[in-house]
Amino acid sequence: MRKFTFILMALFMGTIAKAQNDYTKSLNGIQWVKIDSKTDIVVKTHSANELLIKSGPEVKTPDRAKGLKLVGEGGTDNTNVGFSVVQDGNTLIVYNLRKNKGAEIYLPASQNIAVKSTWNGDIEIEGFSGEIEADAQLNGSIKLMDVNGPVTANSLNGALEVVFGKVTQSSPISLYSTNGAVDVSLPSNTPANLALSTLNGNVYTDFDVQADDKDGLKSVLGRNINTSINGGGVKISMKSTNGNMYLRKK
Amino acid sequence: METLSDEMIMQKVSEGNLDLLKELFDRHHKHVYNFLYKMSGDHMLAEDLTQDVFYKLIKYRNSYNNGSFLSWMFTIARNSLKTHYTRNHKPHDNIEVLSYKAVEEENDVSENNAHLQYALSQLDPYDRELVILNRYREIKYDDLAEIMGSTPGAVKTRVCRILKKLKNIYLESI
Amino acid sequence: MEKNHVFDQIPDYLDGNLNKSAKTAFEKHIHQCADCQKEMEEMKMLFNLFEEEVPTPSSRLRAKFESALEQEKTNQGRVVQMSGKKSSNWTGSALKIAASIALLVAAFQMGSLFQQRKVSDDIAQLQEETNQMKQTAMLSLMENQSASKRIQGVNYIEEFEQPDEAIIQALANRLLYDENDNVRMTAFEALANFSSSETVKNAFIEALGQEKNPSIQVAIIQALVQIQEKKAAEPMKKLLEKEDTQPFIKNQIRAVLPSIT
Repeated sequence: MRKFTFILMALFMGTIAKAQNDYTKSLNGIQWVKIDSKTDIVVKTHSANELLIKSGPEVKTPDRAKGLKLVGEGGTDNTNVGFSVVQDGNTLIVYNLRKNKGAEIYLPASQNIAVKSTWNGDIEIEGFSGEIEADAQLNGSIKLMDVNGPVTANSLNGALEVVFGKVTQSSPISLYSTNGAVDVSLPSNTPANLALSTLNGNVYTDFDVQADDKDGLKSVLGRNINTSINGGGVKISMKSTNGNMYLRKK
Repeated sequence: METLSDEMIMQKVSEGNLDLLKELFDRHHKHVYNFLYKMSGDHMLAEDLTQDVFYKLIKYRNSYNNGSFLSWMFTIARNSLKTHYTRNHKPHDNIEVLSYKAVEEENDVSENNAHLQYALSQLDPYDRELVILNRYREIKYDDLAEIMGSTPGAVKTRVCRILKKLKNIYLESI
Repeated sequence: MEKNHVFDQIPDYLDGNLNKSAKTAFEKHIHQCADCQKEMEEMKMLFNLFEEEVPTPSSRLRAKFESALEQEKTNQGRVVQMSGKKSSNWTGSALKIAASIALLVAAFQMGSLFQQRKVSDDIAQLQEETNQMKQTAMLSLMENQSASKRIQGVNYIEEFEQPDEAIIQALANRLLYDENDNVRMTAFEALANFSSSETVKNAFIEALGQEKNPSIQVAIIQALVQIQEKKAAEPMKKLLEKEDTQPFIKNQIRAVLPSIT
């Protein structure tokens, strides 16, 4: 039976079929889900109001560890999939204890989520309409697909790529990277006030924007562009200190 | 009730138990009044502004963020005073007016007090606030730093210096 | 011994803020030193002056406070009642309304004496109220759980031409203590427009000593160099010595350090 599950999982990664070693928890009364991981993390949507962690191919527990629990910086494995899940008030804290394997996490599309990668993990988030905070603190990249915002994302060395659906106008969007490229796609009719800035990189866009550097006066903070598109709207600020910036019409 | 801290009471107030504000009024209205009186040298004004401070406590109770209650209250008091002076286009440190007012208006005030008021009026407004607030024992250096937007260490050194200056002005004036 | 005057400890001693050993040392010195003794006597006299009872506020203050409180309570009560049970106690609420009208009248009569000078201020008052509301909104947004909302709070700074110290301080706290890098960066950008303020300068210098995000580090360095802040040299040198400081930050510091030292 175990072997069967193993093969099934490997073949149908990402299908909704619930495998034996998946972990679920109800999200009643939860406003924020915070995910903390050293390795790759993929967050997708599903229709149930619960947290679902798929750990991919079955976790191999060393024979010696039989009957023991995995313990990591974030706590003890209380899920049997290598995660520690703790509720703190209206926040659910999900901590990936394993150091070398990615995981897929499923949440309802309207959930507010905050994902942090502390080592090499890449963050990939797809299809959410709630608020998103993503922080790749070291080498990881961030990829947010088909999101609505508000988004707050920051990466150090990895690239930051965001593809927006219709942009929520309620609260600002902030996308920063120190050494990585910032690559953002917006529907062409998005009303917004844009603030783009880079120190050592270049800005490329097919939106109609102009750098407001005065003739011959080089701005101290590198290149700064402030402009509104489609009559102005929610504030979107993007900044890359050393990388290039790409702003595309979708 | 005695055992509840200001912060705990204010917390309950912001949750809707308005009656508890009376306790905070009892505990602090004299301090606020005194602060405003010493700052302005004007009874009527001090009373109006004290009232204003407590109105604001009622009105903005939901914005109380669980920090030090004294800091919050005195920050409101400072703002009210500042607003009053900007609104009336009077410079904050109109020395002559303030000191004469203090001396002339107060028939019932001891001579010592008038001299103290005079000495206070000789200080910079910032220093004056600092030293007056410092003389309320409940306000610790941490609170004071928070109210004045500085660090406890810097505030402490400064207070020490102003006290000395104030004392010398006072001794010269009598 | 005489050289080690204890002037600076006098206020703490009088307020009872010295710990036991400091207190003993203080008392020992004061016994031998006439200068300090004199200083202490004078300071004590000054402290006593502050303690002297100044005239207390009139009872009008308490009356007006209590009537304002009652009024607020009835406002609050009405909201509760509307959403509450249908079978409300009619006589009870009628009494409440009557009572609040009585209080209003009383408050008005007491207030009318002082009404005159207030009238001309009404418009200014309104303006002020709006500012106060904005300030309150801004400060409370900055405490929100959501990073985006905190950024929104920080961005409110554009609404104020001359933000007062409380706002500047709240922004400085965001720059220094917010866990989210984007919020700290936004707070920095907001504060950079007020870099002539001492509070802002000090916050920048403090932030440079503890900030881990290189993008924010380099932005702070540039702002401090632009205003030629000499005190920035120390934290910059420290960053040069640190192993985990990014190379481009070190290059930047090496390039600008001569211009401020």
